[in-house]
Amino acid sequence: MKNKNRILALCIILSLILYSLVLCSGCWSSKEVENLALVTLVGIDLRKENGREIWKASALVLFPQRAQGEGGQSGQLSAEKYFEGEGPTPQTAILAYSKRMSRTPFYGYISGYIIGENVARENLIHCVESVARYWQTRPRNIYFLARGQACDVLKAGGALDRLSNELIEFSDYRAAATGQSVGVYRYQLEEWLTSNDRDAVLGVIQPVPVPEAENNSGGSQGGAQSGGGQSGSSMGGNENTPMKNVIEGIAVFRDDKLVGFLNREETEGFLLISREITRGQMAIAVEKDNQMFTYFLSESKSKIKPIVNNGQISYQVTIQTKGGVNDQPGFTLGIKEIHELEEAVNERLKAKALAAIEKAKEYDSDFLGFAEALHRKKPKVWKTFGPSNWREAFTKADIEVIVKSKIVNTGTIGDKLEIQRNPE
Amino acid sequence: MIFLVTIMSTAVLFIPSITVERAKQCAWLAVLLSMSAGLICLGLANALGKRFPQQTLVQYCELLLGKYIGKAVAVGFFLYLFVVSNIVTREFSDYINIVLMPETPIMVLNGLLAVIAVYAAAKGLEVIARVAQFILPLFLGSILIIIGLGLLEAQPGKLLPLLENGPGPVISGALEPATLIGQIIILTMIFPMINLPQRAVKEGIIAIVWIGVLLTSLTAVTISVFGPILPGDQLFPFVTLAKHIKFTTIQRLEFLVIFIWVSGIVVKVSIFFYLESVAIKQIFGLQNNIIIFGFLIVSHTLLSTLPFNNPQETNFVLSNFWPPFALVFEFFVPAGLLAIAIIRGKKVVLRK
Repeated sequence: MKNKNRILALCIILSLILYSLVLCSGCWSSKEVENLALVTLVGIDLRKENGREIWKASALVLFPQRAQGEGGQSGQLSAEKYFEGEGPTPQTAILAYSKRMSRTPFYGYISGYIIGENVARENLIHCVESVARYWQTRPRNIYFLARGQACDVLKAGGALDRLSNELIEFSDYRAAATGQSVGVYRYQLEEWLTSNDRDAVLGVIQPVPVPEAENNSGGSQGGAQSGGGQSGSSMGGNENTPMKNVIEGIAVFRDDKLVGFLNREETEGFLLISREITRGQMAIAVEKDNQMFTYFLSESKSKIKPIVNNGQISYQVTIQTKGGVNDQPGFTLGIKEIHELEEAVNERLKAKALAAIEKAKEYDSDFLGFAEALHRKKPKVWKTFGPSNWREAFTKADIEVIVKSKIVNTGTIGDKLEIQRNPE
Repeated sequence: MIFLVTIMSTAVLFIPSITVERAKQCAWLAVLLSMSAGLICLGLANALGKRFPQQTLVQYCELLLGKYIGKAVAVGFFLYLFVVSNIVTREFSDYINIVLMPETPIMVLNGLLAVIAVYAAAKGLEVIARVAQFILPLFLGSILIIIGLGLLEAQPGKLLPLLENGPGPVISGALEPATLIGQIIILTMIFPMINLPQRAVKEGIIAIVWIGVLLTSLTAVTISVFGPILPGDQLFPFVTLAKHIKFTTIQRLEFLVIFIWVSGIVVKVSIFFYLESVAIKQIFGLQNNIIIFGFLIVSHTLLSTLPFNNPQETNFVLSNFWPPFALVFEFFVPAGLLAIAIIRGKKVVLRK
């Protein structure tokens, strides 16, 4: 009996050792880092030819030796190389550019995906599904919508840093803070698209020509270098015009279709209503007594309260902000005057919020979260609208906006810097 | 410890997805409800164990039901253990294959797990218990870290409205977690091997409470981060939560899930292999360990690979066929045996 047990133990240990020999090196899925091409950003575009979809995938691939600088020329070349490919589906397009790489593309460190305008209008679901199913993607991958083609955004590259770094930094810290746009992570877009009470939005990125003064001063580092045997230009747009990317505005969706865009004013209104701002640097120009001053909004939070009265739905939006005033045309900033400035700020912020609400009603898209608030707080009322008419709970409702802003910082000067005015 | 690791190891990965799909934002309530099923099964196991302190369930089946029916029920119970370990082996390889090693053949992963589990099972119950004892703090610590850091980004509003469609979806959502927690019925096989059975019941209750609290909180955190619909569409929402966490420089915490998953599954499959070997010996009178463990390795490598072509098929079986099958052996069989034992006047035997 003892001998049998020893044979059994020996068999098991031998099998384990054999298995370990195969698996310790990563088995079939082993990947050597020197054979990987680290993809940092992917762009997806779509066009139709003879009624058939042609997908175009573009990618920026990180080249570490370039990132460190070649021969002391750090920063002269982009650290990201550009590849592109086409196919009848997003995956075949991705494989088309992968075939031209001498290394295996690795998406574990990808920062995000840029979606072309046509994809957002025609077939967003196919694109989002493909990304969501791929095992190397992460919930914090960023999505942006390109005005025009995504490949042009990738070709233009970053303004100062690698484009992928700039997008991560913008989405993590600066999106809501500056009021320019919004940073949307992969899981947020998927959550909105699968939601039955809220529509989706995406930040907008667009390549624009570099102003001549910036170009001459060497402000732009140039676009990503074209690779993979592609004949495409290394810059977006015109071959000779250097381009840079600008993140500004918000793209609005209704279900899975792009329906329009928000301008700067409406974007700030969206952020005030639906985002909590904690480390803001949002500079808001406010008019008082025919003179302009700047309110630096640093904190903001909001609450949407649905009110149902005799079957009539209305909402009360309360926005509370904190900020500072240290850019002003010579007002006396005493306690009483600060209250007056706060009133002016309230009116200005209210106008922004109302602009966003008006745009949402115009697009018939509830990206601000009104129906969601009704669903959560008054589910029985929300249910009366049914699964396809839920947006009516927002579009037909009256909305009251109350802004309570505070000026908590006036810089290093007290009431006023006593500058002698010319009596003229 | 064995119960906690055994049940949590699979529940942690699959429960949020299955319950959210059915109960949406109230999935955490479904998990809480399923705890009661675990307590009922524990109560049944305890009541049977007190009446048959020196015998396993497959042994007193014959005592209570007669030679033929008893043997048939015992074989049924063995099949229950066999199916659980096969499904768990497949879940293990599916997860590793999807999340970590997509090019590695599933059969290789299944075979590896089977060999490791047999190695532990051949060493006996105490070795498996010691392994569970060793990994438990790391296991719980990893889950708590992910839940705690996930909380930082949680929006509790996503858990509303409560009971939007009444209690129906919650009850339906509680069914599968109940069958998982109901696996505590394996206590009926372990009872005669424990020195202090009274402590086993107490430990069982503590394990169920821990399981309930951990599963409820991780389901609630997953919903309050990803909303009430998205986790239901994902295969492993807990992995997505771990991938999502970013706190200062702390990120890419999915390695903790890999640790939880691999270590927990090894303990779970080992304990099931051990119980299957005990059942084979007691039902068929077979004593040759080489044949028994060889059968377990080969059968698990093949049967956990061949019947399912993809994870959807595994999930289909788990959602549609598994709950009624599990319910029979986790609840109806023990309850029936207990009823017969009471009718036959089997008294509670006090063991020191």
